[in-house]
Amino acid sequence: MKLLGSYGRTFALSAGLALAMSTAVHAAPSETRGYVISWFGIAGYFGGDTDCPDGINPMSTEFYKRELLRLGYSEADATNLLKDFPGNPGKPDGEYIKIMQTRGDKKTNVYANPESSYDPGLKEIKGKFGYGFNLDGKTDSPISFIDPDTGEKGIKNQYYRTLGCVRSFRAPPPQHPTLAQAQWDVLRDEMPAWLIEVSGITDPKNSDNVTVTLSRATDHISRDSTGGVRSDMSFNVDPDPRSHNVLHGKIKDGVLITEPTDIRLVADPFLIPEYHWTKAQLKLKVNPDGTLKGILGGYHDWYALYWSYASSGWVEEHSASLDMPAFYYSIKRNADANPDPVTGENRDISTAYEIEAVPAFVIHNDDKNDKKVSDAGPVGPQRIQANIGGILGKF
Amino acid sequence: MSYLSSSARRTLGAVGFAAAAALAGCGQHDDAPVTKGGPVSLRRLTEPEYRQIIADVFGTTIKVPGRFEPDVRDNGLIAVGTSKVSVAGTGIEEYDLTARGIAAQVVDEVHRTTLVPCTPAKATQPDDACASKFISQTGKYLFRRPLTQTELQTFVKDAGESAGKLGNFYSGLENTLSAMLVSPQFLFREEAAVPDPDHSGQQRLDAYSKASRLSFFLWDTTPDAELLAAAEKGDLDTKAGLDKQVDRMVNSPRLASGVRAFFTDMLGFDGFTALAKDPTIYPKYNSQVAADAQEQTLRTLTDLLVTNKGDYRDIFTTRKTYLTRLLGSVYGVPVKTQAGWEAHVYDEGDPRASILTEISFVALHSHPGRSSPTIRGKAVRQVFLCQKVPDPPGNVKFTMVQDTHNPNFRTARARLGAHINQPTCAGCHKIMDPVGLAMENFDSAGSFRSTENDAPITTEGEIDGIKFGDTLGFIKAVHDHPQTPVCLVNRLYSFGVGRGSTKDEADWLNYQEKQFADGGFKVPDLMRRIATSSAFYRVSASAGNEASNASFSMAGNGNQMEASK
Repeated sequence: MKLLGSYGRTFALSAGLALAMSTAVHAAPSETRGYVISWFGIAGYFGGDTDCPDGINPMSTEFYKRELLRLGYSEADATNLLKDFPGNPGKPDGEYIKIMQTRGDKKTNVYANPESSYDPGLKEIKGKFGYGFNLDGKTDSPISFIDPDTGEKGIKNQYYRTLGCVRSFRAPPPQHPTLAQAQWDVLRDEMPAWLIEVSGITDPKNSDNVTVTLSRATDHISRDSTGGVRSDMSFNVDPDPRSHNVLHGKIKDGVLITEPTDIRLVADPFLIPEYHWTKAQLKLKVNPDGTLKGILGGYHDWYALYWSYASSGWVEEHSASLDMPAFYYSIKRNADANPDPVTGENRDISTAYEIEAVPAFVIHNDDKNDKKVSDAGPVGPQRIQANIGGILGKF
Repeated sequence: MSYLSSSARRTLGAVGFAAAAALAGCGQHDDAPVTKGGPVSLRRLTEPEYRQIIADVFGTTIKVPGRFEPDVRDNGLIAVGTSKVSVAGTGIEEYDLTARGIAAQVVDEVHRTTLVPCTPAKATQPDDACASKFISQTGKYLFRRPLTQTELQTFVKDAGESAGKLGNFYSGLENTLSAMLVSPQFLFREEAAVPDPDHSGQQRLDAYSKASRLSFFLWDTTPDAELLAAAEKGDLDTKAGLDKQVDRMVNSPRLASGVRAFFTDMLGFDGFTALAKDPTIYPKYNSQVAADAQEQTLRTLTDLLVTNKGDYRDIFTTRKTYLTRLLGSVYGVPVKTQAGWEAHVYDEGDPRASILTEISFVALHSHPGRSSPTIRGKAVRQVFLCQKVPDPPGNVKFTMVQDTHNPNFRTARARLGAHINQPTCAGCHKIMDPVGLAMENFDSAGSFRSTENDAPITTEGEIDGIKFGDTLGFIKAVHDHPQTPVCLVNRLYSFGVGRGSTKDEADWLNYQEKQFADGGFKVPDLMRRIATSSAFYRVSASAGNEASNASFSMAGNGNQMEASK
């Protein structure tokens, strides 16, 4: 890997440039820049009182009590059952938890079988603004949002419409929502990093034809002294094809936009085992400090998204204050793509995720230009006898 | 000092003075000027030496718990400071805790079968024969000489009494080993002198003191069995015998340990233990980066100087170094190896290609929140050129240089330019700043930068009359500076003998400097010449009063050096 600039980050001379130099063919040199994703969470726009005119969804203490009362428990009994909420150290399995787990028909696990419950109703986003992409090309659809930054119409993000009025999914920018922050804080240490590599950059502000590779690393991120993701680290690309996505796009006025395609990313069961978006796009702005910030959007199987929360059952329902049956009915209702040919019900939902990334070096294991690594240099202090026993071990 | 005095009277031990006198005809001869030598020393083990000895004697699975007494730097080296420190009461407590922790591991069920060379008749009772075998074999490596009969009898008696009271043979050994590890004979490298048969009226180190000085100088540890045997047989008092041992040690992979220990000391890496960086300004710096940075420099040095037997001066210009991914993130360099080290060769003309621009130097000699051309310039002069820069006067106002956000002085060069308008500051800053400003492209944590507060950084400067236009010119100036190899010879000798050189040794050092230059500035060869020289072992009872600061004083105007040696 030849560095173009002495202090650049994978500013590689492409093979094309090398050819151009040798044959005097005039072609612009191109750069490749690498990044590691440092933040990933549902993209939302939180506009004060205007986005949730019906109010914010209740906390789990509130909807659990509502359900207990609905199931016939007296006010006193409901209060008593929840008095140790969410379960003190000595009572991790509070009786109310068992009741909530079967609150539909009193025998079936409501998280695995949400239709055993009625639809309690989830308060949804009703504002005009939202982030994402115009995935279906329509600008006059009733479900469309307007991009609050660019004014672009026709934005589809029904996932945000579904969850945007749940308290744990909300936060005034630049803060991140509590739940996503907590999840990502764990994931970025435990899950191999996600990488972005942009090649074919002839001009960082405007390049007509760039290739974006979105892949997973075999390494985890490293933290810096502030707890953030350390920039300029090197990451090896995971050869698993499930996490190798090649996107094509352009950079216009400093914003990278890719054309719609399918994107698969292996994630982590703590979040979701694997993302698989269709008609997915990236829109990333290069910040002055070299970092990226933007949106990944596309259609995604709505049930997989539901199950990514419901699979944790009561724990996620409680911690996220996400009423699972209400969530189930809402996300199913808001699904807006890929209708089932038999039932006609949509199987996918429009989504958008906020992405931030910091510069990184992306190492390709099959890069023949990379030097072979064999020289680790002189080792540390030499021992007279470096095994158990030292000198005395000879006796 | 009474302890030293009594020790100094000790004669050749197992060899005996008579035997030494008989070998006088085989004494060492070299063409170097004859010196009177320096005083014998009593040097407290440094923490790295202590750890290395324990690892070598008992194996690397024995953990060394606890803290150590802080070392003192003198004459540019901790190795010199070790002869000027004692052990405070709290230090004894710390050594005792450490000793108990080590001793317990050595005799535990995991290690005893390997480390105790015999099995007691009954594990619940004393066994003097077995205890004697363990104590004598272990003792000679810890005390760096065979135990005297009195010492051995005392330790065996103590082990037996402890075993009897505790009902456990190994507990008895544990207590005795613990006592040995807190004894002065272990914690201090005591040297003893005997009459020099080759030079009437003069003295030299006795054989075991020679072995110890030799082993710590070349291998940074206690003498091994072969070296102790050579001392016992009197081989170290003959030129052939000494040459044989030195050749064996210089040609051993363990020479790298000695080289690492010397440069760890010379480069002041002990300073990293108290080094802090403001995480909001330098988030990439942490303790692991600090550890890797030291290792990077040590690997670079040993690869160049030991593995490839390169020119010492090339440490300032070598483009080959070793990196981890953590270091790569600071330097902005991709590192393919996921865990561990890999070689990296900077492109020609890259200013990062020098140990002077590595994290281990620029970060160590900076403030927590900003770089410091002054500190860096001072360090270059003191560490690599052995020049002494005066301390700043007590009434200096640093406000101008500390305000990094003053829009009128956006770079360190601009701030220092304003600061040296103070007459009391100008003299010294003219010595230090033009040198340190050459490294301003590297921030306090070692990352490259081309601007400060959006103002371009320039790195031109001057050192001792040599002007340079940028960092590359600077590192070449240090490479070519006539004082660079001279300083190395002086430091290395001081490191070995544990004191500054004396005025009497000036001619001998000049001779070594010339040999060093004529031989292509190869450090292993220099170490061999020092280790085989008679000067390295010569002792002068009166030399203590003559020991001088071996550095070179900087005149106030910064344009002259005055050698005081």
